[in-house]
Amino acid sequence: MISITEALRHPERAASRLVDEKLVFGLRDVKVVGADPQAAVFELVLDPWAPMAAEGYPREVLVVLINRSGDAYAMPRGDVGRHWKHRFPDVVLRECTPPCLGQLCLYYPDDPREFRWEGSDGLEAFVTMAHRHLMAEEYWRRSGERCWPAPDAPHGRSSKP
Amino acid sequence: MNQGAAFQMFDGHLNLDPTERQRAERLHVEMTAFLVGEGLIVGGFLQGSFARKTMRAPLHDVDKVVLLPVSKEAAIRAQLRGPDVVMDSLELAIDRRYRGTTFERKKHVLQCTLPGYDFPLDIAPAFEGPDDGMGNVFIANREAMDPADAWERSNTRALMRVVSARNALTLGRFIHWVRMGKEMAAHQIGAEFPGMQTESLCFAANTKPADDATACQRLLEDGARLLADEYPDPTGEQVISRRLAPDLKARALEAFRQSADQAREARALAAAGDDDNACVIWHSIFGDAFPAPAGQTVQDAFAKSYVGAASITSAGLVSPTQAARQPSRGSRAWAP
Repeated sequence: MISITEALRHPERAASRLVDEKLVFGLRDVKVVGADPQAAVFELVLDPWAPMAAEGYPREVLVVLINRSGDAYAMPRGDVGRHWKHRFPDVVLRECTPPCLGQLCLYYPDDPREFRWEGSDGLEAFVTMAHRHLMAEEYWRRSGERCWPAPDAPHGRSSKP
Repeated sequence: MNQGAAFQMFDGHLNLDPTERQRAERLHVEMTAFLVGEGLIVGGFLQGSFARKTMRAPLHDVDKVVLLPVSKEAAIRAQLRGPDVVMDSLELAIDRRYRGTTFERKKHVLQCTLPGYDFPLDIAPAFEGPDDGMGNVFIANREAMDPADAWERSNTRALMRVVSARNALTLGRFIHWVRMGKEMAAHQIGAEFPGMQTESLCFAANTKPADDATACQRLLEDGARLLADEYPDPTGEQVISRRLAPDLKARALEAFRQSADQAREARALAAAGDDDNACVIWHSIFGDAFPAPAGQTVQDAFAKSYVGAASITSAGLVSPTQAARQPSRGSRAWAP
């Protein structure tokens, strides 16, 4: 497992481990696009899981930001015209907590621990969750924006994502 | 699909066609009798992977040693062309008895392709070695530069003995594991990786009874370790790894390492109850001879992944267990 602490201290090494140790299926490339002692930003190129690849799901580009507070954010890139069901606005319209970075809303914060990511789960667990979310958004689009592939939480029940 | 049953099917695909095997054995007996009758040889025996039963289907050749009369040994050994002189006489006789046979001479053997047979018969002329209980023979070497080198010592009988003994110790499974290893090597490395290398690695790795999946994992893990270094043939007489070209050895090492990782994952999945995903991974190791279950659907992948603790396999499928390489946590997507 790559801890968030390790990823912040040695982002290049964390990026190499993700690829070399094949920690994330479908990960074709990862780059460190920004790093300082407080935060690190990775850009990942991800191919879909096998069943989704068989149905022509697209390759995705994902930006992941982690910070010293233990927060993590996953922002999809590419094909800006696409619709998203579970995502924060992608422009900063107002001051909010957490910041509106266009990140994916990966889990409901009041759900039990086993349905949420926490920093102690490590970097690859976060990437795995975000990767699945990208494919779920594609599933939703292909259903005519009617059907999410798994139970999801109603929007707006909490002030926190 | 059950992992054990899938290995049984895989094993069945690698077995030689029993009718074809019997036909090859009959040909060997018949030709030995004929050549003895002609006074050209005093006996013969099968050798090679066909004889050791480590050949995987399809039958591609049958290797046979023919033992030359002691009475002719001194005269033949005196000539640099001794091996070719012997092959000349064998060729004439075989052509008379089996019209239409085509012949090709190789370093050690006279390769005969008989009409009506899909496989060649590789005949290695040889003299019996000393009566020292080792069973060595001296086989023809057409590429020798000196008459003293024209007949090379071969421990082919010893090789058959140790492989047969190992097969008995593994309750008859060893020869099947070698075939499985050869299938993996052909799929992952290519036909240029010699079968005897795989057989030697399997011999080093598997010394006791086991289920097929465990034995294959041992072969792959120990194979990866040994390919990084040196290893002997099953008789222990030769460091057979030195016969591999460095680039081929490097490719084999990488293939064995990667397959060993996958084998560990497959066995963990099967142990956790996810035989389907285990079989998908074994299929990726061995290729199409290993049965693959029906593919996972997109809906099934999402359902298993979102519902709770699961994992993603190296084949990119979702296992409802936590045994695969990449852990996956359930979640409910949301939006503010």
